Amino acid sequence: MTGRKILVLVAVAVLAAVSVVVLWALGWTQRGTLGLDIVLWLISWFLPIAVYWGLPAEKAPVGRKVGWTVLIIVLGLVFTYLFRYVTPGIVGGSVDEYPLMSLTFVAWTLVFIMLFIWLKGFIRAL
Amino acid sequence: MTSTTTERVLAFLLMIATGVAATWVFHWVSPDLTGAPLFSAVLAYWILFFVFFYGPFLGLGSEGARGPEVTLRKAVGSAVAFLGTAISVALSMTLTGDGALATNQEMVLSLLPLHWGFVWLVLVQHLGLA
Repeated sequence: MTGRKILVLVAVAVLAAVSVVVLWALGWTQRGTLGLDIVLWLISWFLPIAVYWGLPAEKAPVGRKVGWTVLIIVLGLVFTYLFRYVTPGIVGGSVDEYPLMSLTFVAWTLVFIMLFIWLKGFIRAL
Repeated sequence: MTSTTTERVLAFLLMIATGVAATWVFHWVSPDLTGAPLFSAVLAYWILFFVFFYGPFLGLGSEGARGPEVTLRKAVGSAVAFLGTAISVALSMTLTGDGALATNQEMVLSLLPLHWGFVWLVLVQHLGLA
């Protein structure tokens, strides 16, 4: 079990690193918020894998959970772009320069991860 | 709709509504705190906070234990968490000083309370107070 727990932690670290590197390459993050990005992506991968998927339990339904996690990431992306589009209409200003794109994306992703953690308490299919 | 389903739907609406309300309060305090580049992130983090608070913390919509004893424990736990959050935010703002606040004013003032709120809610839950 200890080995599997270490494996889960390594997976969380690798996925967080990949997320930050990809978002850096896309120009979605900047040096000033990089530390915050890394922490939030670590949390954002720890929650689905350890809390939502329930790993490293022996019989966690990983395949099904991966599918829902992909949906969560897509929803995060959709809401990030949706609010980028509607924000000037709500609070004015401009989002042409958007240095917090990564932090916004991870925020919406966390919203849906937490929502799924709550929903799986009474919707078995999740 | 059964009463449980109604409670779940109402809990979901409450999560969104209080997240929007908290964002609006910061916008009302100063529009700079929820300016265009920050608005979406601030709104999302506050909705996240209330999803956690009403869902996994208070257990709204779940089929867990109910009754006056549970309600009282949750109420006391919430009160301890929010009092701890208020003290932590006040201390943080005092200790960081005016210079640090001026540098990170937007992030500090709009996101500081919810981060401390998470810390205290998780702590209270971990200690079995809620």
